[in-house]
Amino acid sequence: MKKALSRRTFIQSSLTAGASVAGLVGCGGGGSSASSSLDSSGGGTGGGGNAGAFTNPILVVINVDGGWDWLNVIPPDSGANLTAYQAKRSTLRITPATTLGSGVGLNGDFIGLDVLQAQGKVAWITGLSMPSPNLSHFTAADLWAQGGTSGSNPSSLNGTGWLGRFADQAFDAANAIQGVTTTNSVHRMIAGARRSFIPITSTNGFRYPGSLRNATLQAPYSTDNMLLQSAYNLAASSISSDSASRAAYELIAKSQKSFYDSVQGISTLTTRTPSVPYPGDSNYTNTNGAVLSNALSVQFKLIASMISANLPIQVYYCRLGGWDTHSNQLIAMKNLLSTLGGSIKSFYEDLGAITTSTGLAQNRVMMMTWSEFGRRVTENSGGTDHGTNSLSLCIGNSIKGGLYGTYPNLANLDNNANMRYSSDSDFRNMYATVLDRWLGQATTSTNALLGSNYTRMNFL
Amino acid sequence: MANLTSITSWSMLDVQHFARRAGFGLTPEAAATAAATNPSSFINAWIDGGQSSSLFDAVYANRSDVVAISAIDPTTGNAANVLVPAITSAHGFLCEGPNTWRNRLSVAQAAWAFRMQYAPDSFRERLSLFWHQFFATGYDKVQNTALMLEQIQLFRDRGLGNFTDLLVAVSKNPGMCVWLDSVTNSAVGSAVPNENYAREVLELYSLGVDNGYSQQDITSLAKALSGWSFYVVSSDIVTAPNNVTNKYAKRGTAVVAQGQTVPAGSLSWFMGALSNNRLPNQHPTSAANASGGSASITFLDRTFNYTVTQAGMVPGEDVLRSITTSRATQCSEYLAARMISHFVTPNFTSQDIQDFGLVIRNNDFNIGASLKVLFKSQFFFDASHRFALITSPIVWLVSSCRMLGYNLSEADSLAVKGFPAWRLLVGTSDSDSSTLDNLGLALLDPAGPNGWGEHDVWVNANMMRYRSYCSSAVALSETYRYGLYQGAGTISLQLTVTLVPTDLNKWFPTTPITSLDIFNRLANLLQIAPTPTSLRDAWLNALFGGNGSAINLTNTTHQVKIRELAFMMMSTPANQLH
Repeated sequence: MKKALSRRTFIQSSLTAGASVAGLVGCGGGGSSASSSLDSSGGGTGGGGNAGAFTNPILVVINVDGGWDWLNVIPPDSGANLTAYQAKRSTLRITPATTLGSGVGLNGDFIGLDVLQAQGKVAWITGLSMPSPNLSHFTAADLWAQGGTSGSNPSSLNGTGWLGRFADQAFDAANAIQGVTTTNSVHRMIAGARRSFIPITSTNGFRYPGSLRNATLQAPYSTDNMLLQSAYNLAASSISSDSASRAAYELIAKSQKSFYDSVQGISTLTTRTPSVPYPGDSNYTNTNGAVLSNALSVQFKLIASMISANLPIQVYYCRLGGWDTHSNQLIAMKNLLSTLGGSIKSFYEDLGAITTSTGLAQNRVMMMTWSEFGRRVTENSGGTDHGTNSLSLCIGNSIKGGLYGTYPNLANLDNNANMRYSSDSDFRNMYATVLDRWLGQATTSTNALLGSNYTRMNFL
Repeated sequence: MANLTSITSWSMLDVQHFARRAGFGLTPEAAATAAATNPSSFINAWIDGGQSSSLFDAVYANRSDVVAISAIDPTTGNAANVLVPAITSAHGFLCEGPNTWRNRLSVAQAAWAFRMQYAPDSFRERLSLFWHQFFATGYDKVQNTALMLEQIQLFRDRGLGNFTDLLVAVSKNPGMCVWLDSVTNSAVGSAVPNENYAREVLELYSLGVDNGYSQQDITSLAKALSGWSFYVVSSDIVTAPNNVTNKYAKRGTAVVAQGQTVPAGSLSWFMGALSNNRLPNQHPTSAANASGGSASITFLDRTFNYTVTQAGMVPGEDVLRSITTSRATQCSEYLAARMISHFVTPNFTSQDIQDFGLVIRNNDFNIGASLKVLFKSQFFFDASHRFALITSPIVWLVSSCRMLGYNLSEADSLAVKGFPAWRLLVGTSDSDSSTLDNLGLALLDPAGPNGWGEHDVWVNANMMRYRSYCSSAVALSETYRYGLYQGAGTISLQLTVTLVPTDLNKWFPTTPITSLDIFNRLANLLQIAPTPTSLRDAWLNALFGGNGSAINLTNTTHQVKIRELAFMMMSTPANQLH
């Protein structure tokens, strides 16, 4: 393990908080609880449950942003669905390189996922859907983010997302950083009412940029830390009495203070040298000639650095955009899938080289992808328009690999040539499973976070 | 309800409120002058704009970018990994016209930021920023800085006219046509139309999500707008000097592609050759070649023949134009909400929206006339709206540079020019790690067509981190060292550039006597929201030993402390509001 991070306060505060720190108590991992009954296509192709004993599960959420054409990721490879697929995808159809069974194949450009699949580390949760979709990116992403029971933006959720509400409940007060996003903005999915996820975007250090270093001003300016303390701590405690600006002032002061508190915890965050090449690295082996992006790799490397440093972070959020393939899909999807799959596999392998204070990182981490919708079954001229029903992947040593959810019937589409809603594959079923069986929430707690008792799935 | 009647008199605080919202601020001196004038006349003149400045034009074209960095060595043609200035003498921003081939996002961002700071018609820049946030289009897909800036120029030219005309113009804009795939949208024969642009027209650019349209309307509009594309005539083609196969469009010629012939030597929208100088046929000319075999479409409850061209329009334009008549209420209220949340307050009621929506309809969707009503209104000047909006990072940064930096003639008269090094300030990275990205508003490069949002989206821990960085750059006179290109293959270090040149004496036209004078003047200059006195006194105690301490501007220790105070005040929560 390469210890590339120096820390000041996190270890101490974690120790003092002891077992009361949420997430330090053992949960998740190999021992999943009783299976639910509604997983329609079974799963459990083996390979799961091989995690060693550990505590402190980590969830890494990967936003496949733009609505991915997952029909071309795991296309039908036999039966009536294959016939329908080929008829509606005359130019864009994919011939799978391998099979997942149950009439479903795997696109050969999803580099790396074939390997993880063979090892039984991947749950393919198909047909994840919501009632009455309007095909808007923004509505669909918002509903995925909310993870609530009703329609878009109910006031009861107060602008929060399901992982933000989890943070409100589970993150402890002693640690400023327990949720991190490697994106510039904080997605609603991780917006809590009280707890903030901290955006950390650069591998070259989470610190004051420019002439500010290590929480001090540099010469000729004051080396007295008091100024920055007053800028952030005092501003947050001395609330403006101006009624017009007070609300916004408080919001800003709170964000500034959370930055200040975080940077006190991580005085320098240097780049850890990965143990394996990632897509975009010069020594990464490109096997299919795709144009690879490092957009996700840099985020995974940053997350690996933080995991390696034993920061008490339970949930990481990252994003790979570009999936809105209305046009030029054949080329774009090859590049995107190769980037996504290759990055996931490199990250997974890299985690195998990190031993944290509570066990092998590879055992502690579960990845979960989400994308706001799948795409129209019928292609347009070179691309696919917005559709319904998505595919999520859950990946890790504790995952019971296989196909889950409901693979849609492509011969029975709705009036807009889109896949139909199935409550068996409600996207919140996956959330409930992750909250219960990975993030260690009690059943009642999970139900309260999601607003209803959703069916648990068998992938954990 | 929103009181949209006009104010008849105003104070200096009102003037400053207006200038912060409808521009990038006015100095206290300029605001005091304006406060003595009639508000209606002043606001009319401000919005009508049209000021020009030969000095600005000359500076922008020839000597604005004091530090240009190119990734390409122009003599060897090698893409260099080091950052080297392509041209060491003062010059303009190299991102348009014959320099389109350089095609660096950060240069285009810097060029626009420079315009925001110094263009004589600052309202035009502020309005263009509003429309950029509205019709958010991204370099990430367009991949052409000149086409991106061409769209911004469209907002300057048309952003105050009729909204329907603007919507049509944006729909023909080459950057938009690439961004949302109009260029590949075909409704000829068995082709299935590409819905990307049509959907966003309804969701984002006219009505709002689920606000009075159906999926069928999206499909119909997609057919109507099929073939809306552009081509590039030979005189608009720029060839990269280092690689003649790399061709770039410095502008595009809008067209509805129907198989017609274009001038010899023209290239397609993707800079590909055109067979026999003919465009592909993407928009049907009759029912016989229309998608699905029917020329008739229903759009927002009206029936159109989308293969028929109406007089004075291009094919399909009548369908697009019908939105503001078929859904006048929804469209006007959608615009009202966007304008109020951008310019007035995040805390508005549905009644406020209805009231201003009615104004927009009564003005026949004339944007300038409607905005004049809004900006003159009691509603706009209501005390509860002052400092109630969180300032977007680019407006905050430009405003700060205007208040603390040199004005154009001062900056240009210096031997080493006193312009901010915008290229370095916005971040030389063209990827998602630039300063502008981390501030949360990557000009010309939104993550998606819905842009960024308003108000609280400008705040998170990382964005505040980068605001502290920018505050130190401006107030603490931060410098940057960079490599200097010396000729083919030779790079020598190095030059040191001040990111934002400032002169502390210019901050204080009246000599300050005490530390409190320093605070008060800086608060007035930066126009920060009311600040808790406990915070103020903590700063003054730490820096000057109290709020009544004597100050001497020539004292170098005091100069350092004054800049530190300016840094505190620029980055403090009260200064993120406007």
